[in-house]
Amino acid sequence: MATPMHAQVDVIMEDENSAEAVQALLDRLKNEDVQLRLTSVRRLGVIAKKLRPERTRAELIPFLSESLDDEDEVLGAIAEQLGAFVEHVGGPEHAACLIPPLEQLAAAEEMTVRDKATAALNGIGLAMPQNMFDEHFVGLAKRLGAREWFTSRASAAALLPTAHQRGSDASKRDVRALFVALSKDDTPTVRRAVANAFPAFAGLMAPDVVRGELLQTFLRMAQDEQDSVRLMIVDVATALAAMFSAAEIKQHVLPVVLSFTRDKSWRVRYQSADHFVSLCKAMGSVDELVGSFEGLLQDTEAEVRTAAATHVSDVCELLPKAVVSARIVPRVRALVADQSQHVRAALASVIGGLAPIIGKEETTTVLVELIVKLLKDEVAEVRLNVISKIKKVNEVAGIEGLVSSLLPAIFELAKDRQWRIRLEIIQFIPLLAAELGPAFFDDKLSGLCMSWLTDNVFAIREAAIVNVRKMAETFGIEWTQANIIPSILSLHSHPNYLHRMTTLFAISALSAVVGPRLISDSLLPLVLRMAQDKVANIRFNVAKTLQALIPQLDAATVQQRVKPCLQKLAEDPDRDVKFYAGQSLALCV
Amino acid sequence: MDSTAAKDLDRQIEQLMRCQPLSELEVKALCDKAREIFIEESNVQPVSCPVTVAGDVHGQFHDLMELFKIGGNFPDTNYLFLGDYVDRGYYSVETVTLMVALKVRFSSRVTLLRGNHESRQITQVYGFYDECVRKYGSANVWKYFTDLFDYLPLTALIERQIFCLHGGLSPSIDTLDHIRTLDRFQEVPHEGPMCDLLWSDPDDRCGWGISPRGAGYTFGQDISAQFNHNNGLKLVARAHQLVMEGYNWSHEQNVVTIFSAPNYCYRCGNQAAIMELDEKMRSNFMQFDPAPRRGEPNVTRRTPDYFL
Amino acid sequence: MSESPALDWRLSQVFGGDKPPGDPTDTNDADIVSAVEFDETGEFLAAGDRSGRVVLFEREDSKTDKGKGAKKEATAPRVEYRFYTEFQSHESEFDYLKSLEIEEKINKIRFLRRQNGALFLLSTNDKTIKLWKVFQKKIRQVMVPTGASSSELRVPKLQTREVVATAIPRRVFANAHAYHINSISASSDQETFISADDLRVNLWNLTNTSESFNIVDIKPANMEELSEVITSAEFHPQHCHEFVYSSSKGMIKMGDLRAAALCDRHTKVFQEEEDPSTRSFFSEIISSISDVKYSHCGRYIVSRDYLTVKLWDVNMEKKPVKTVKIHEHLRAKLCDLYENDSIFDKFECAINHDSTQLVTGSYTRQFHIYDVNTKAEIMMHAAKVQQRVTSRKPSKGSKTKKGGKEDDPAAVAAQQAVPENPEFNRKALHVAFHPRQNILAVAAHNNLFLFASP
Repeated sequence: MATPMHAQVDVIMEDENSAEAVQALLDRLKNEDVQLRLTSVRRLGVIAKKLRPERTRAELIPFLSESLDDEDEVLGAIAEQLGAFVEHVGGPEHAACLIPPLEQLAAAEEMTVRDKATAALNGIGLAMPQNMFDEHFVGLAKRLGAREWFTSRASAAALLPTAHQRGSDASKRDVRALFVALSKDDTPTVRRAVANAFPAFAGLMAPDVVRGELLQTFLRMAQDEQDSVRLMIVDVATALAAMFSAAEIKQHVLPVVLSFTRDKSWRVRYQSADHFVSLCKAMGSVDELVGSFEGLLQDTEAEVRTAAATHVSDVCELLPKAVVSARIVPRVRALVADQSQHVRAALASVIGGLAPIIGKEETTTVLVELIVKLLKDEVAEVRLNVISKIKKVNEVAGIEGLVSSLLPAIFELAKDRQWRIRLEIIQFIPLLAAELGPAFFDDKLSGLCMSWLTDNVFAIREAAIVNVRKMAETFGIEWTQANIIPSILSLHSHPNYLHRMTTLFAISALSAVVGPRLISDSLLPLVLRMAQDKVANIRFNVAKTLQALIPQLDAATVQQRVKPCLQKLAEDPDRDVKFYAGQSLALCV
Repeated sequence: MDSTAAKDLDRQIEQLMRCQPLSELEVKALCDKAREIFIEESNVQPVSCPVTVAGDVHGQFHDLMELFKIGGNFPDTNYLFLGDYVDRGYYSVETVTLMVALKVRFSSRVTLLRGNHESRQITQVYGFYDECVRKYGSANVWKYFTDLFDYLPLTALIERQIFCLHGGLSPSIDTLDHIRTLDRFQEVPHEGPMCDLLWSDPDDRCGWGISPRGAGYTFGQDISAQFNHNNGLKLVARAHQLVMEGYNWSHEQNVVTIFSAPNYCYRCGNQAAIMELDEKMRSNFMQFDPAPRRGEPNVTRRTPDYFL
Repeated sequence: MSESPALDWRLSQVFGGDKPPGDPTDTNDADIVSAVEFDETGEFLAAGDRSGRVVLFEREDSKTDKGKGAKKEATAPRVEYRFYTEFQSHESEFDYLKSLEIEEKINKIRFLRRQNGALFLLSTNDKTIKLWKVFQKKIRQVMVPTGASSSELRVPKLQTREVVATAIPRRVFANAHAYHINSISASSDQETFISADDLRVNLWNLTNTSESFNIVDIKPANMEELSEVITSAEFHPQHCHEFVYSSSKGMIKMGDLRAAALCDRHTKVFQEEEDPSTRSFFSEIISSISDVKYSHCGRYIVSRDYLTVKLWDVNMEKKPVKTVKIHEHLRAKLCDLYENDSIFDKFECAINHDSTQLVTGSYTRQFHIYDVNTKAEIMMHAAKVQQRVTSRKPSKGSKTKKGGKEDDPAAVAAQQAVPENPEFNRKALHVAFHPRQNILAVAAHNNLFLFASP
């Protein structure tokens, strides 16, 4: 936590490259305050530049190697810095001197530190001269892979793609052997690291290797006893499929994918549901997968159904319309009544996407009915999600069929007891307005927008003002003048000062949208009149509102009408009125 | 206020609104300025309407932000807080610093009264002291604030009609003038009129009673009615007690209790409320629920991402 | 050949409590041991106490005995642990929100597997779980090189002055339990752990302190309907998806994290039907399970209730494989035990490395060891001076009984060894078996005893 003790701002020297400044950075590398150490570590590059490569190699790197018992945050920062240190130690020929400290960091128990260390090492490996690579980088990967503690072995897995990419032919064999060995490691974390590196590693292999030992490794890991390992193999399936022919996919990969969708662990099924689109694409043909997807949509575990429902439109895009209608739509119908609100909410946010897939007729006859059900869901989030994605349905079938349900749903959300629900529906209104057009909007929703402007809760009034501005942007000045301005202006005489303020806030918000004519003709006179308000809060908000109007007005208007009003307010007995009037006056030049 | 000072304060307020505490030095300077303001205020500080009245906050910083979302921002809405800014909740430091900063920046828009927790003794038992030491490494900030608390006004009077205070009435006080004569610049005493104002509670029974809290008294409807009558008052508005709806009328509308810490202590399940008084002294109670996010670990019934 | 060849346990070491046991002046509650646990190798032993300290002991003898391991000897292993380090794990706190004091007492300690030569352990009090790293820290001194010209940059040099065993808190998992935490247990993949309180089991990722997944919740909507609490929970030793938890209603429930995200519905329940003939006012109290543990192989579960310790086969839910009567002699005294609250004492149980012996504690600083194969049983005293071991042959009526006579002297001795008036304030609550050898740690009051057997 950044406590006030650490709030002391780091003294920034005039020239951060001066000898004194760099010496201060050096001295602070061992400061007791972790924040100061971090500041220094993040400027290791500056230090190294000043030290020159020779001393960096001889003194700074050994010093850092001795300092690796620090906090994780510091260690992570050191790893990141060292990744960009090749030039500081004298170029690629000297890159190997960076390996010892990073090798230590690659063994850290903290995964974030290890990840940064292996990322840095991979970068250094790519920069290394070819003649040093086997000895230093492949050697490093082998050492880490043989260590007693699993942290090192997990890091070794992350280095193997680079090791294989640049290693000699002899090394490549060793690297592949190590890859296979680590894929059988006792520690699940190491096997997970192998699974993580698998796609990149496979991408570097010759076809015969992929079809040989890597395929075997894939098939074995797909049977791993730990579901935490199996679930990472889902992505490996996608990667391997990209390298196989259709027949090979069907023979080797597809059975694994199918087994994942029926795995006894829900986390594996979840993963396959969540990645179903990429799996379908990778398998080439989706025929065999439709049944699996149906299964996932009916899974016993709500988390799995949620993941499947989230992707239902995307998956259907890959399917023939007939299949969608015959096999997926019935499942969707069931999910509309799912007992888990999370499943329904996920479905609600994508169900509109089915409209273009199944076409106008079926949308009207089938989908609208389901959407209507979701619009009446007891959970507000479900209703909100449907409304937010109504656009796609409208594009296909028009929302006429929905209006009779859509409007009540909106009205109900609009007067929900929870103000946060009201807030969310307000935020959808501009989108809806743009979609449905002004005519629809005037009829049905204008009154609602105005009622939000007088909501009891300030946050709703505030959002209503933003909403009004967006509507003005969408429908233009004339529409705004005809439909909104009068109601806003009428609030200026509201008995409650908090609502009178809404007029002023709305005028500020609209000032950049409505143009100078409307401002000087109808808005400004009202604002100036409100400067007489007996509540000081209104008067200083007049001063603030004028601040927003001044840039929109011509000089004459400012001088003749605005300035006198502000001058008067600057003499107000209330100190806040005075203050803001003074600020605004400064703009009247 | 000159504009540099205002700018500085605006920056501090912005930082505090993000729940980031000020440095120790900044707190000290702020308390010095606040003392100069409070010392000029009366024991019965006059307040004009419109104003929004809020009760206990108790370091529930995120719920205070919720309160502003409901009631409106500073300085647009005028506020009167009835005390108990600190203790119990996890963010007493940020909460009270923000309150004091707002007072210094907009002294005529906000009135802060003293609650029974604005005291050296109580804050050492209920968390503010420990929080200061934990967040600043020393008790200095606690000392600046508790020294400042001695200067907070005890009560407020809205348009000569609504008498506002943290706790309740005192058997040793009949008139507002009597309150005006008290020497309030001290630690809250264990007994006596000043103590009673910060500790007493209304009760269903008539007359004065012994308070189960061990300080102050309980007072019945007869006492409130008499006090309001004698002083030409319409209402006593006070805080100090948890009420499930956030506000609660008692004593035949002679007394109203306002409590502004929703789900008090993060577990009571109560709503909070504030009382908006418009220019015509019409009251409107606004209830609110806790802010959705907490600084605590999220114990969830849905599978967190990292298990997937 | 002795009558009970498998049970030959000898006292090897005693830690703590300078005063002789029973000395009335020896009443420093702060030193009372409240948790005992070996690490996965048995090289380290940890004890937590009421004052929030964790003390670590390191195996001394095996270092010098290296190389002789293969030789199977019929003598008890030489056991010598020595003090390694100690640290203050928990401090007492005051929860201002709830106005209640949170004790610093260590409720449970669980080791994680070692990493990079460092020990990792979880410790918990009623509310807060901490992950500790204990390692050999190099204490370094910054040497400023002298002689260099002042205009030249000086790179500090580090010199190691000494190496000290140091404990640092790596993570704090706090504020996620509304009730008191009774158990913590790490999963076999060492990525997650569970923590259980009276009504809930939470799943944590060891790297994430900001989120906890509540996988079991038995809190009724109306707390007045509360009739059961969770008393203990443990992960399976090899399968990181499986865990068990025990309840005050004498049930052990098994959850499977693969089967569903929420494990409110168990996959198995181990419960023995109650014998209606012995039903009494105390039935429910004495059937409450105070501790549950998996065997190292994962095949068995051992549980302890007030009167017995039970061994379950994970494939048999209806009935335990064996019920060993520990406190049968107290059945007649339940009324008194209820009066003095002893009936609520929570004795731990443990099963040894090869699942052949069970141990659990009792009053008068006694503890029982039961041999699963021979059905032999002994009762021993956790005392500084080794007292006579009393053994009991397979009980009468047992099918495997071999020539045991009704007046078998050993059985009589065992009965006699049960004190007429157990000392209820002197109890051996905490027990732990070494993970690879027959070495046993028993905590009684402020003493930690180590016993060994061939």
